[in-house]
Amino acid sequence: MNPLATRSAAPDRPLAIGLLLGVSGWAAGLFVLFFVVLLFRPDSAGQAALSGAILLAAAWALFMAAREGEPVFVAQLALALSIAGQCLALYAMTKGSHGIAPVAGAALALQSALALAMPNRLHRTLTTLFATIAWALTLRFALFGEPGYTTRGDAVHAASLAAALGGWLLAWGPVAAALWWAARKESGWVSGGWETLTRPIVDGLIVGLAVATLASQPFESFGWFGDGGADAGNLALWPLLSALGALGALAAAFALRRSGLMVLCAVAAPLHVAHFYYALGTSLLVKSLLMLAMGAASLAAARFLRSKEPA
Amino acid sequence: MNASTSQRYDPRPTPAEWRAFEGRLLHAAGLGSLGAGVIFFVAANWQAWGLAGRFGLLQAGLLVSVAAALWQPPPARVGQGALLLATLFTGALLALFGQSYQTGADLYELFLTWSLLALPFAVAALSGAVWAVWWVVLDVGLGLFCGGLSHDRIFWFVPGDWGRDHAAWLMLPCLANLLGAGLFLAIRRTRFADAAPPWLARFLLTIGLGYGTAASLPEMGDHGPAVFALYTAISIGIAVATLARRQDVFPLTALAGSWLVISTTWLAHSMHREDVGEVFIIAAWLIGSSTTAAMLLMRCLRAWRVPAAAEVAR
Repeated sequence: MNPLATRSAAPDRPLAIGLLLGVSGWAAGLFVLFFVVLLFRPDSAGQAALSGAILLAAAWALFMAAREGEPVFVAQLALALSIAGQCLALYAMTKGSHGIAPVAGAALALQSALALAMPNRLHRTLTTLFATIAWALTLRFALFGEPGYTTRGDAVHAASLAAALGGWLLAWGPVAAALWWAARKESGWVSGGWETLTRPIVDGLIVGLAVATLASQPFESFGWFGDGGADAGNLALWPLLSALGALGALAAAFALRRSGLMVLCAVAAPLHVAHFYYALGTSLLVKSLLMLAMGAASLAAARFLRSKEPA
Repeated sequence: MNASTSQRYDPRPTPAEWRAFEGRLLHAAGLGSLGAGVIFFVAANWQAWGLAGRFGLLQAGLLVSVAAALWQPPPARVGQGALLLATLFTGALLALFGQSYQTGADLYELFLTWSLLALPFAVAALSGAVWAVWWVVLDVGLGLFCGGLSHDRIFWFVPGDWGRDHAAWLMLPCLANLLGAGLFLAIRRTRFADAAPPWLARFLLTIGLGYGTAASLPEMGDHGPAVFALYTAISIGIAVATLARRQDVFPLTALAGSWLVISTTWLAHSMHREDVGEVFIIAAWLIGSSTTAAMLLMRCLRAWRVPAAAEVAR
């Protein structure tokens, strides 16, 4: 048994119940954060770091206590404490830094460490998902500039088609590769005693590749603040790549027999296509031709596959 | 290897299963891409083609789709795909008509007319996917009509004019979706079961409960108490029916989520926000109620799995 592996509290928990616990745990965590901030007022980085460390340590201890059997209450309390602790720790790590990229980078380091350290399935899935979001944001703003430091759209307009495609692949290629590896080597990590560590992380990567690709362009396309979308230039192609990413995640979920996640991926793909519709930077006519060509190619490939099936 | 272990470590998909999966995925992605391409094309309003050309293109697409469905009628895959495209072509034609002649019709009228005209295609397709598209069209129309969605924002999921006296109106899409879910559950017991996959009923149940949840939040209007009582009665009815069937915990899970949102919102609404202790109470309520719900749901799941497994074994 590897040292990071833990007994899974609820290996057969349906996605919907996990979602119920995850969302309510997150919301409870935010209220715990307000409570701690109002009560102790940790204004400096040091105070925030201390408060965050105490909350994270308490969460870890509760998760360890909740490993045996099914003490859902303890695990849910630990999740809420961890969320509050993460927010305070991130505040301590990034107080004084400017821009989104450093904050996202710190979040990536924090979430990656917690995905390994916290002995809980749901927590590992959530931290992995947030790590993928942080990774995408870090790369996005490190490669193509920060909003506010350039005129919105100027920096991304400078991105060539090759840079746009390369940037997306750099962000999401490693996630896809990790899923491919996990699906290929599943029997190895299951028999090696790594399942309780690897399975929730793989779940988080599947959800990340399906939906968190939106984090690669958080400000373009949608009028988040009511002033319409910014011109995304060549990055307008990213939602289309995200739709393909969701289909890739769907294949990974199929390979790993995660039926609930397959539904999530199947819902995510058309939402990315809707995002593609609104992404400014490429004309609707070009988008239309792209979609028609992809549709024809996919149907032809499906027909080819059917023709290869034994009668 | 015991039964629970064999259930957890299913073998990897076989090459035949992979081929079938890839075929279905490519087929669905191809149809979706073609449909999206047509909609994008109409929205592009390409002047080089002229009005007659654009109408002709869409009408030809609709005719070819219907002809293909007649040539290989559902449940053949070609027929189902063709009727999905026919549903999308119908909406594109309506949109082009409104775009070209400035009929002055509201956006919700477009979607409701679209759903009415496409209903025969949805019925004939015998396909959960086509029904899902049809319900999305109907729900967008109902959402716009009842004020649950805002038509003046790009991001339609942002709530529209909620907060005015819309609680009663929001119960219309709630009831429509819940009745739809019940209808598809009933269809599953008939020879048309393939047209009503379980995920479709879950999808409609989730949307219906979403609208009911929104209608039951505080300060939703003069009819708030009556709507709240109606939604409570509906929730009890769904819970009793689910407990009687002993097959699927999803309706109970969705109900738990709905009432968690309603109760937490009401709790926060009744408190003075500057009080530290009250913030803690909300956190404790969220943790306690979600934990209790999850434990009860898992207990139901385990209790119901045993007879279901025995049924399969027989």
